[in-house]
Amino acid sequence: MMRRVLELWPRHFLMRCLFYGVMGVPALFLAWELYNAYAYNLAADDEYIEGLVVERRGFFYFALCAASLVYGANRVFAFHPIFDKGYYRWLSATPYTGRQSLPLGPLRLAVEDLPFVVLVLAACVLTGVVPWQIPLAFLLIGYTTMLVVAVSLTGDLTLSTPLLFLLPLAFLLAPSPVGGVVLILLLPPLLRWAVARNLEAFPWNLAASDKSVPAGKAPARGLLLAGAKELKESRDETEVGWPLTDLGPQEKWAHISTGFACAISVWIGLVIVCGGSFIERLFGESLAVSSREIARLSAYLLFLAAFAALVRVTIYVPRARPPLTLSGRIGLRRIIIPQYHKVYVPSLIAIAIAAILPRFVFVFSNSGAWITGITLGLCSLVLLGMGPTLKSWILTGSYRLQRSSLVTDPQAQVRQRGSTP
Amino acid sequence: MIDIVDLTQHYGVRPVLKDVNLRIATGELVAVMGPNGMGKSTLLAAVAGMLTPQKGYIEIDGLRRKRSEDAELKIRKRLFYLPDNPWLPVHKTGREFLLNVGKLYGVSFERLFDHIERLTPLFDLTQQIDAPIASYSTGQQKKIAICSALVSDATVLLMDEPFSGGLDPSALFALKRVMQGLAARNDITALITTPVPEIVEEVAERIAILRDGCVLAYDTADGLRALTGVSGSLQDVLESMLSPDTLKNIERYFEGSRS
Repeated sequence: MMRRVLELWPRHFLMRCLFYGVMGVPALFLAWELYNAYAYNLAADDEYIEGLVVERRGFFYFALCAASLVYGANRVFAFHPIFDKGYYRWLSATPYTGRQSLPLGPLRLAVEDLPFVVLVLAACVLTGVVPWQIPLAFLLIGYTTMLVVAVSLTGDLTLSTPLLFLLPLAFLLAPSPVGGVVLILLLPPLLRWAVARNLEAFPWNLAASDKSVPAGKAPARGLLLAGAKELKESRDETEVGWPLTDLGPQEKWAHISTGFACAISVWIGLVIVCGGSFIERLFGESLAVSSREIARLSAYLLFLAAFAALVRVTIYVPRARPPLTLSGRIGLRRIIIPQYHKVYVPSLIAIAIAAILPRFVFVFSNSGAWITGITLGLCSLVLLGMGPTLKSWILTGSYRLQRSSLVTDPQAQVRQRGSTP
Repeated sequence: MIDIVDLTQHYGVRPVLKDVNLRIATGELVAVMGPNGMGKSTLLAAVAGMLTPQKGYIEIDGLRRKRSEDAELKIRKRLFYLPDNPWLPVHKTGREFLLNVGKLYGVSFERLFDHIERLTPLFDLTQQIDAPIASYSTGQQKKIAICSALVSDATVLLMDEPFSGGLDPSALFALKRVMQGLAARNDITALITTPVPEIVEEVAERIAILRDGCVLAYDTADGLRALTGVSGSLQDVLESMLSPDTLKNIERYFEGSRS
């Protein structure tokens, strides 16, 4: 039994570092302060030591919540076959079906997780500074987040998108003990159902595109190798020179449907609003903004929206120049070419929303979380959902393709490298 | 088939192409000729989809460029555009580069391996094919770029100045023969630009003469002779069409140096 319990604890190098790091570093800080207390003969003063522990309650908070988060994330990361190509490849070759238990360990939350939960609860009760339900909520948040990633990688967006909405729900319910109970009763069965549904679809039709690691690699190492190899292969495929990179028959465009854009935007808004409410209720810090602070918040939001708008522009426009040069457009008095400049419209609308909306929302609510959530949610909707789509722009856009400054003359590259052609 | 209809293109205030109309039948190899700066490369770039023309349109095998996503993808799968100065992934070996291009066009590995094995000796790249492109000379880079066009198995080839760029005599000869072989096939449509009339006469079935962005003539070499009334070489025909004053200017130049 003990072996089965310990198998669920982080074993992958990265996860292990994170797990023990988030607990160990605050503990070291606290130990250093206690050592100093002894060194300066303050240890005998009980009030001082108690005060120190109360003052540093943030350490306990952080250590318990972060460790629970990492534990939850690791439960999916370590046992979902999608994260380990060697495991996935081997499992594909066996008669495994999603209804059977996974051979390397359970992906679903199981009885073996109870010892960790009990330890966390005991720490909460003993220190008395962390409400019992908060670390458990973080465990479920970590598990859900990693499950969303895993399910998305298997290509089942119809499952991963609704799962995303469990995160704001967790933020909303976690601060109160009653909400915590509801969360613990509600989320684990839902997550177990989601895992079952996802595993039932194994091997997720990925077998054809699987360019897996060589057989015999250890899973943890295999994961890294698989990632590196896949990255290299995808890079190789694009290395066909210019202009083929822009004019070739590639079909790998990220496609964001309107429904998905709406769902993601609502999710962003909800996470901010619920996250804000979580912070307010948990730490008792109000996120309300005064009429003076709204100007600063607007500026931050404008900066964020402008950055996101810039990212969109750099995805769409790096080599697609206007059909006419600037001097030509000035000469012909056609500064704006609607068929071309329409690509900038969503970015400009997002910036305009970020500039105007915060003050408008402020009229109805002074909650910083609501102002931020509504503004960023709408900006995301415009940037993700408004056309033209990337595929449509690349294939049918009205632009003049120009070699990027990053793509230099091969002879110049050779000269730069110092080799002799 | 390539159908260029009323194509007008300008980058600034001066039009580079003016109402160009050309129809290149399937299986035909057409060369575009003309003085520098008259719009040959722009014409090829427009057909390749690098530009969106201000007026007119281009159809490839009945599919209009940039009209719909599906049509554009179909066009891209059957068309290969080789500009006069392409960028090559210099840290890749020639073989890796050719394999990547072939993979992009969906050519089977069996076909690719075989094609590369036949192409490398043809262009004298056997020693270099497994070395990084960074170590290639200018002429060898031109050769590997031409090979990439050939391994794609595209049925529509657009090649800007394929005979320029430092090719050695044996590569020129090989490319000429390859072009003749392509011209003899009924399924390959090719549009090339080149300033060398002797080569054009040997490889191209028809010749389009561009001047000031307009199509001055579009016919076979013999048709152009009949049109101009010049019975000499294609060079003479071109001179009479494009630069009738060249001979006078040469004489005037040498007369000036004697006096």
